[in-house]
Formats: sequence, C-alpha cells, structure tokens
Amino acid sequence: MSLERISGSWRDPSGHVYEQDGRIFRSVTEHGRALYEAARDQGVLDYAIKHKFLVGCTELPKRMWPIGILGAAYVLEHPRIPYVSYPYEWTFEQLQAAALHHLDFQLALLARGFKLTDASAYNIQFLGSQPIFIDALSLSPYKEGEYWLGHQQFCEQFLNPLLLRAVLGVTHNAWYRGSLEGIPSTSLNKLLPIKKYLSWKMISQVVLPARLEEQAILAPASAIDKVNSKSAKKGLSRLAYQGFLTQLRNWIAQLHPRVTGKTVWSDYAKYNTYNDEGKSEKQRFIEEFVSSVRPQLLIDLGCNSGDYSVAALKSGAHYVVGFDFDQNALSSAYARARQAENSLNFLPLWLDAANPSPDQGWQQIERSSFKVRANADALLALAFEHHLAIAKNIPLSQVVEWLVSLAPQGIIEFVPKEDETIQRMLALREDIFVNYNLEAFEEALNGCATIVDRLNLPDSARVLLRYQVKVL
Amino acid sequence: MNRFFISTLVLLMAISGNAYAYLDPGTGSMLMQSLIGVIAAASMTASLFWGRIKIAFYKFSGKASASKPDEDSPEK
Repeated sequence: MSLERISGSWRDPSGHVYEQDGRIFRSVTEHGRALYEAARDQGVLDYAIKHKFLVGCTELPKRMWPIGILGAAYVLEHPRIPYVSYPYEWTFEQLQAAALHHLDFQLALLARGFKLTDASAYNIQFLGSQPIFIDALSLSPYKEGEYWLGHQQFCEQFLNPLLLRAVLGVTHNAWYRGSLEGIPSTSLNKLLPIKKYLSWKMISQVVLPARLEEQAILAPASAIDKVNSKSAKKGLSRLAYQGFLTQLRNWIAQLHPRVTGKTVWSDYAKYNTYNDEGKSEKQRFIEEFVSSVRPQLLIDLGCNSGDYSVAALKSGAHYVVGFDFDQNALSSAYARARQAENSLNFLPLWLDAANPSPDQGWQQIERSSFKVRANADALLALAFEHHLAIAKNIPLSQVVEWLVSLAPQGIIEFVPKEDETIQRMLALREDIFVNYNLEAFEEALNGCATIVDRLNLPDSARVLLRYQVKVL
Repeated sequence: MNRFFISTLVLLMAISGNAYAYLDPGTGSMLMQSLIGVIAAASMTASLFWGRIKIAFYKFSGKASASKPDEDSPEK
C-alpha cells in the first residue's frame, strides 16, 4: 500500500504523520529539527515515553524510511493506536482523565525545563482505558517568563466542556462535535449561574478570561497595547506557570457530573429482561464465536456497562471498542475498564448510531467519520437493532446492511415485537412496523451475509444470529 | 438618509470583522495571566510551603510517607 499522509496532520510545520501498511510514521522537518533534538538529547523524550505520558517513538535510520517522505530531517515510527477517538465521543470521565493526563505531563515537563506548545485534546488518545499523548513534536524548552500559550485552548477543549456537565448537568458531546475547537469561555460564561462569582476558580479561569476576551474583541488595539505594556512584558514567573497548572489539576480532579437523575440504561444490568439461564446461554454463544475468530478489533454496539465486551476480551478478542448512547452506562463501562487489574483493552465510546460522527473539520477530512474508522474484524450487536428499527423508524433491511458493513462476521440479536422492551416503545404510539419480524430480519441478513449459527434464547422469543459475509 | 445608514452599517461590519480576524485568540487568556499571575505564584508558594510543613510533621511523627520520594517518579 502507498504512503498516505494522515488527514488531520497539517497544522504544525514541524512534521507530519503518515500511514503505510498499518504502520505509523512521523516526519520531523527542518523547521522542527532543533526542538526535536533538544527533547531527545536532554532525555525528555525517553522520560516521557518511559512514564507513559507519551506514545512510544523510534527514530528510524535513513535506509528504513518509507519511500515518499520528502524534506524530512528525521523519521520516527510510532506504535499504532488501535482505535482513534475524539473528545466528542468521550464520556465526562474520559475527558477528565485526558485533561489530568495533559496537566500531569506539563508539570512533569516543567520540572525538566520543558513545556507543551499547545493544549489540543486531539493530541490525546486512549489505549484501552489509559490516556496517552501522541504528538512527540509538541515538546519544547521552557523559557523563563513566557506565558502559558496553550491556556485558552486548554480551557476550551478540556475545562469548559467538563464544567458544562459538572455545573449545568449538560453533556458536552453534541456541542463539541459541532464546535471542534471546544466550548468558548465567552459562551460558557453566559450560561453559568450567578454563584460563579463566589468561586475564585470560576472567576479566574472562566469569567475573567471571557470578559477580557470580549473587551479585546471590541478594542483590539488597546488589548495588544496592554499585552505589550511594560508590566505585562515581564511575563509569567515559572512559579505562576506551575501555579496555574496545579490549580487547574486540583480543580479538575474534584469535578463530578452533576446528578440530574437516572438515565435510561443505568440500571439495565440489574433490571434487564433476561433470566439467568438466558444470560449464561447468551454468554456461551458469544464466547464460542469470539474464541473461534480471535479478532484484533471487535466492535460491541450497545455495549452498556461492558458485560459482553469483557467476556469477548476473556475469550480472545485483542481490543474491544464499545459504543453506547447512554452516558451513565458508558461511565460504568469506563470505570470497569480502568479499575480492572492491568486495565482492560476496552474503550467505551459515545455514539448516536442514527447519526454517527461524520467526516468533518478542514476539507471535511480532518476528523474521520465513524464509518471510516470502524473497520473491525468482528461485531457484537446485542439487543441493539430495535433501537434503530423501532425507535428511529429505520427500515429493518437498512439496519441489517449497516451492521454487516461494520465487520465481516458477528452476532446480531433480533428482538421480536412481542418483547417487553418493544411493547414499552410502542405503548404510546401507533405500530407502523407491519414488516418487522424474524423472517424479514433473516431475509435481510441472508441478502448480505450467510447465517452460520443461531441461538433461540430460553424463555424469550429473542434470537441470536451469527453471520459471515459471503466471500465472492 | 439611506446612504448614511448603509455606510454606517458597512463601517460597523468592517470594524467588527477586522477585530475578530486580526486578534490572536489567546489575547484574553494572556491578559488574565498577566493580571493574576502573581496570585497563582503566591498560592503555589503557599502550597509548597504547606507541603514542606507536612513532610516535616510526618518526619517528626515517624510516619512512612516522610520517606524521600523516588527521584525518577513523575510529579503527580
């Protein structure tokens, strides 16, 4: 396969990221040479990698450079991130973990005379449940007196979305997805209640920057003069730089989502419609499938708190990405992945399956769509299809086609109309789903794959169908 | 009258457009840091000082946490 430049890698002239045959390379240009050499030669890069702040990187000898990288001073190779995710797909806890990772990394760098040049949340990815910084060229030597230039970006991409949920109980995902650079302080300031004036943290990190920003927009020349004035030119002492980082770290570590009641699925694991026998039969069927396939990447749609994702990992799946719409279920799933011994290779993410993440950003390719990234080896879609076919009126055949397009093999559970959950969905609306039945589901599945196994769940009319895409 | 109104509107649009386009997006944040950097530094000094008092207290009372932290460990 030819060398491809990663579409989101264009902002920084210090280097670019490329992909070839599943391998990830980063060029360091002449522009970035000095900063890279400083971080490498002073042992900061090795320190950051050793302490799992930064993704691994190996400097390649020239003879091993992939053909097609032009104008590079160095070429590095990084281990591949199994599934790239974006902050608008993360839960509150994942965004919080990413924010703390950024601040901890900055504090550790500052102690070694270095800093991060920006505060983009997109520079953090998850390896299972563990956040990791991915841009080796964001490190640069700290100069006494300089301002924290990434501060506003940090607030917009980490702090403000977290405060939106912690103070107002509103999730960040939809807003963040529509505004890829995060939530502006000027907007958040307008929404925060009056008690913000009682908190120094709120005043210093949201109200004051927002007011100053508004003033600066109205009178730019005067704002520039103020920044260039004698007193401001002295800059920020190292202690103050460290103070801002530490204050934000302590604050963010204490934030919790504001409790606004139970969500739809938070008690699902306790109060679902299966009996114990049904559950164990279902689990056995899934384990049999996963252990025979041993997928590198398995997608678990409607993962809830991750019961079957964990079962899949134990049965031989290497990496599981779970998707769900419910924030509380995802929080439980993430906590489970984090608290497990050695943390699990399980990444739960927020997804509205009827409106998944699109290709967007600059030239509409900067951030990839769910469809582009979801190239899995195996799929689990358990008790999921009716949330599209019934709740969203999407024709059953389209739902099946979409599911099968995500992985060449998998298990899909069919939930019949007489099932309690569908009866509840239809309790207050007209039943317009005359063609929603097992026969129609099987026909649709047979149209794009072969049904290779099935399990009729005991004491329920639900059916699990294992499919395999036909090889032409 | 109409001409005056339109030219005023155009001027206003030009002013606000310029203001937004030519100003560094971090200006508000830089002004904030220059204004309250001293307070951040003072609170950091206080917390470092408090940390030393705590270490001295632990050493005095002989608790295990007074042991010297690993030099190579990340600052968390």
